[in-house]
Amino acid sequence: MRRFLKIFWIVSLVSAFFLLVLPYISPRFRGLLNNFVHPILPGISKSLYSETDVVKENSVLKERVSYYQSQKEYWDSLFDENRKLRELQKMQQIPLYNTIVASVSVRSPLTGKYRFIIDKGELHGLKIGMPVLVADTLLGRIVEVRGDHAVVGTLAMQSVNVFCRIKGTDYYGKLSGEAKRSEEGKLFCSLTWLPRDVEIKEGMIVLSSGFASEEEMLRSGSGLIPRNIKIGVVRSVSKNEKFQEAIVELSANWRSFEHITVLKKNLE
Amino acid sequence: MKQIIFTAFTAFLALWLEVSLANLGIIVPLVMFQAFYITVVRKWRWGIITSLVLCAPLDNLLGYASLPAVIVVIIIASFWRNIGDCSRAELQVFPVGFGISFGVLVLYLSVLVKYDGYIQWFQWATQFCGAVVIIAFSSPFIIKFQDILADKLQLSTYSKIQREELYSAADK
Repeated sequence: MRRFLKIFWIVSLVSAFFLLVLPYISPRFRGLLNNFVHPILPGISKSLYSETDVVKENSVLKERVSYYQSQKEYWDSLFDENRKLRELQKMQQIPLYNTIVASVSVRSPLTGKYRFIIDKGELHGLKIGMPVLVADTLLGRIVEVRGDHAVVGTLAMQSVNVFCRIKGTDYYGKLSGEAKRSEEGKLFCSLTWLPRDVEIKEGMIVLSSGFASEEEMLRSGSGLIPRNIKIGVVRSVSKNEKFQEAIVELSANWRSFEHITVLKKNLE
Repeated sequence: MKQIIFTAFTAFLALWLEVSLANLGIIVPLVMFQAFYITVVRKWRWGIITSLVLCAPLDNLLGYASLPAVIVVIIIASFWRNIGDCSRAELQVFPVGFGISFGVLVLYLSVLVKYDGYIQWFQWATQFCGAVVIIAFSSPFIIKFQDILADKLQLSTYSKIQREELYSAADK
């Protein structure tokens, strides 16, 4: 029994010695031992283990991490802004037209492919019928204007029509309304009134014709769309008795933009 | 007067939240839920008036045609008021879920008719399930919140309205 007690005490003393020395062998044990010792002997804990270099280093590192995290958010926002500005810069200068850049302020996931609200309105010179572009492609027109905001109707809306032509040809047609189920942010519209006897192939590019409807002319030219603005690509063609109809995939993705450009005809 | 202010405050809070969430890409039919709540607490006339006031700005901002959908919700809420049990907030998950499901279906239909568009099966089904699940499971909390507010203002609450009417009928 005595021998057992002797061994017990020796083991205990050696363990205690190692426990006391352990923090000085490896600093990573300091926090652990501090947790054990502090409730029993706070004074010893403070003098031996707390406020060690590791703790100080840890707090400095935490500060640095939080600083770099905040910096990363700032850089991310700059990166995002840079990307949007690059997209806007793609828009080439069109003679006789001024551009007004606006941001999307309200858009519902349910009706977003048909209409959305932008943060510029009558006060900024917007008028009903003005063409709306995303980067360098046509998306729709202004359909309602109020003081400081306006509603944009996309080409998927039945009431928004544009006269188009197929690139490299002289075939004209009228683009209006959603033609089939849209997929992954893509919009499909129908291009009608194309002559029946001409050959239209899949993959042909659709551009704005520069022609205006009677209604657009009545609005003193505000709804005029300049010639050769990219609209989309022909995806399929069908014929009826008099005309051909093409389904056009719009080049503008209706989901992935936050800024748009409104074209304002410089009438002076 | 207190009732009008309370109804207007909660209704416009619902409208603001619905528009903000829609702008973030999440459809949560809070206006429909508010019409349900008001119809249960203050009967269908208040429900109709509130929906008329709320649907105009909602349709204007988000491009919906939401009045038919809200009327469907008001009809279901009127039935629930008369035959259901409104005393326990956690039980409202089922009537709210049921009513809002019909409401959202009518909303989809009205959007389809308004824009003469095509049904986006997968996208719409996901949005529908999300909207119904979110509103149904958050309904006990919203009801509790509005009941606490109404209780503080000494107004009729959702969970006590049926009991109050039972007592007043017995008194007569």
